[in-house]
Amino acid sequence: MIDPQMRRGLLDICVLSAVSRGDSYGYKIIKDISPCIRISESTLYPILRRLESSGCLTEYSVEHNSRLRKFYHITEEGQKQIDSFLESWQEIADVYKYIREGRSSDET
Amino acid sequence: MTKLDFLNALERGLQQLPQEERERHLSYYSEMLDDMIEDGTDEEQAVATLGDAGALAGEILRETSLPVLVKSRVKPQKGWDTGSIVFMILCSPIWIPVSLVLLSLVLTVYICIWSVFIALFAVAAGILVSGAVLIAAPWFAAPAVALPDGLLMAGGGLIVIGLGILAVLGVLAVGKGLVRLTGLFARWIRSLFIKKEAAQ
Repeated sequence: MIDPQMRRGLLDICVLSAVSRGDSYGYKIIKDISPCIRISESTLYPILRRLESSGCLTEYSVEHNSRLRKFYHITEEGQKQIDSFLESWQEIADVYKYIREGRSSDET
Repeated sequence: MTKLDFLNALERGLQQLPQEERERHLSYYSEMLDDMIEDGTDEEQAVATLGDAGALAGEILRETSLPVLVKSRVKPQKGWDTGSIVFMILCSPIWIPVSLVLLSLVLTVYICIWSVFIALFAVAAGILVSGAVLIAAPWFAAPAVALPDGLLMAGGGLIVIGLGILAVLGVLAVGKGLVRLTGLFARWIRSLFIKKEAAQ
């Protein structure tokens, strides 16, 4: 069970990563990240708004089947957020490895 | 429930939002439903995934920042026209003092809550200081006070310090409770700006 605060941060970066692989729209973003982390339609909306107002995403509309579809595009600021996430988590991975080793040597 | 019914119910629930905000939310959910249906989901099923429109509206309003909610409560729905502006200026001798009074009431509640905490803390600190004095006093009054009496005072001082430590722990626990109380009070103030019907 992921801590709720941590989940919020993780969701933000997952959305950024999904969009960084190619401009995307709401429904597709949910489909893409659902296998990895639980997200609902109502949770995604404030995340998109927040990322947009912090300059990590830009939006534009494209006509699709006689309706408008809103696409999101990742900015340089958004890419920077992904980079710093990856850097900070390398340290966490090292900590995890250390703790895992401690556990397995307990068992011998 | 059909897509149209859902969106209408959501629109009703979001009446308090400024028009632009409301429309952004509606087009997001309309688009989401269209995409789900296009991907093969049945319309009823898609709407069911989003849950109850009223509950969703309540969630959205609760997440909306207080300034936006207050602004849309106060601001006439159709925007400012000359008549509304003149009306607001004419009524300013009423709403300005009233707002100030309400603001000071809220501040007073906060001050009362935290004054209690400060008073309790002072009591606990006082107990600790008394204990310290009881222990130290015999040393300063040494020649005048006999050893047994001095030891009695110092012993008493140790007991009082123990009680003081317990008192400080108690006050810290009260402090945590007060922080929660403050939080609940702030939430209550927010909810005053969210109409009951929408929150259901």
